[in-house]
Amino acid sequence: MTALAVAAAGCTSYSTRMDATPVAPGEREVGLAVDLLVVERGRDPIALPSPELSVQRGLRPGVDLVGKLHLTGAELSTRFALRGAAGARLRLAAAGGLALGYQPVSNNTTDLVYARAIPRLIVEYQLAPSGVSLIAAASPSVELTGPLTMFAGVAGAARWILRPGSTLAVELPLSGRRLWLEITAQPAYALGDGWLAPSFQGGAALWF
Amino acid sequence: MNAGRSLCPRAQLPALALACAAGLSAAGCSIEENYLDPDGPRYAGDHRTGEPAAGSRFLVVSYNLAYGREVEAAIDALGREPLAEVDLLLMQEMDPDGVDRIAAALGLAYVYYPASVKMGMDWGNAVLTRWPITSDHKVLLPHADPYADTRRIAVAAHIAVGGGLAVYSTHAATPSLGLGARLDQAEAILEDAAGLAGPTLIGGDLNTGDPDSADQTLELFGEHGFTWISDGATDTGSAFGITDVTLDYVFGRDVEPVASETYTGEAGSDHRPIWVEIVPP
Repeated sequence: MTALAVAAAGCTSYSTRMDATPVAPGEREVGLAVDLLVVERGRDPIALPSPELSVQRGLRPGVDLVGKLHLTGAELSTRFALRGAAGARLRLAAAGGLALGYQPVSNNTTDLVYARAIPRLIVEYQLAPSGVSLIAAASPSVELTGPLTMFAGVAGAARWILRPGSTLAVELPLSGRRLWLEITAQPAYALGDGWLAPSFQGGAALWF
Repeated sequence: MNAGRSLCPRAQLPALALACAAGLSAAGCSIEENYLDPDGPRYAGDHRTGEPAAGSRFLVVSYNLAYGREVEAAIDALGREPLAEVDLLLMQEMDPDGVDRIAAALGLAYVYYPASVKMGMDWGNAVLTRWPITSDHKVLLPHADPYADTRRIAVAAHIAVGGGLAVYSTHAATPSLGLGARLDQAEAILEDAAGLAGPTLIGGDLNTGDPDSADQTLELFGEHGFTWISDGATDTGSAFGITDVTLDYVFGRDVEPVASETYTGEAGSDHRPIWVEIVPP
């Protein structure tokens, strides 16, 4: 049971872990997170641990790359500052990302592998300079998912899932680092199958 | 029937599945052939030598023989106490030859349907009994295995004992199929049985070794009026070779269980057979 629970950890990720402030060009930030992922298993929800590594790398002013890695999947996004220069308390950013993953255990049917496109709109409000920030993000996604047999041409069970997800987060300074607390809700609508049970993910990350 | 030899036999463990999927390519897990015809293929035979007399007990055994390889070991086990003189034998992972050999050795009637071709063999479930089989059918279970596209079935039969007994021998998918889909498979059998009157037994390998699986399966059967009558038969298999888990079950509706236990002798399988004694229908 323990081995299976470990194997189940981090089979997918719905986290955002992005504020509206891309890192400066050439700079890099690394975040380590421990989340709890709540997904439907059978007819009941189950909570699974989900460790995650995030890396942000500045490309040019107002633009950076954000990579996330969990046990069986990864996501790469590009984030663009839309509004709010340095020093502004209210900031807005957009991001577009692609996630690929493999869910050996936590999928509830035959949704074993997925490719997920995730546009994000992120609002950040800094309560005080170099202080606490509040972040809200809309993170809707479009996902193609199905069995591994898709790669052999047997794709009858493949399906599209739309997730009108959203995230709330708090970012706090902590001994020269940043502590990130986040909760994400992911309702899910499968084309042809209707609404699925929503998924949730929440946890804490430390940015270095 | 020819089928590609699976490079991922059984897709039993997520760890194995992980290895299969490492390249995100189905090249590591060949697509298997399914028997989707609701009427067959069907195999039946009758090796009984006479009409049985009603006894004071009715012994039910559920037995997953692991690709039907160790037929002689199964015959030996089924000749020993407490499995000897079985009235109703529900078998899984069998090929037609193995079922016929066991039926011939024990003097039983049988009906067998293969679900698919696995490892080059017909692979399915059987109902064997010392009582006449008056009707039977195949229940095609929903959802294909996401690695090999294999489908699962239940074999339903009506046994002419007492006022009649409806039985199902089933084998649900492994945890490579999500738990929700495996519950859908169990529900398909329960819906098939919903219209039946009188005593009904559903038994077999339900592959409940993963977290929450056993609890939710028991709850589902309970919601449909079935009682876990093999509750004395636990630890019937292993999860990852690490810990014993209960994979095999017999559920009953309108039957009166007397005792049940896991057979711990040599059985020639990665599952331990389970037996249930019920008051004769």
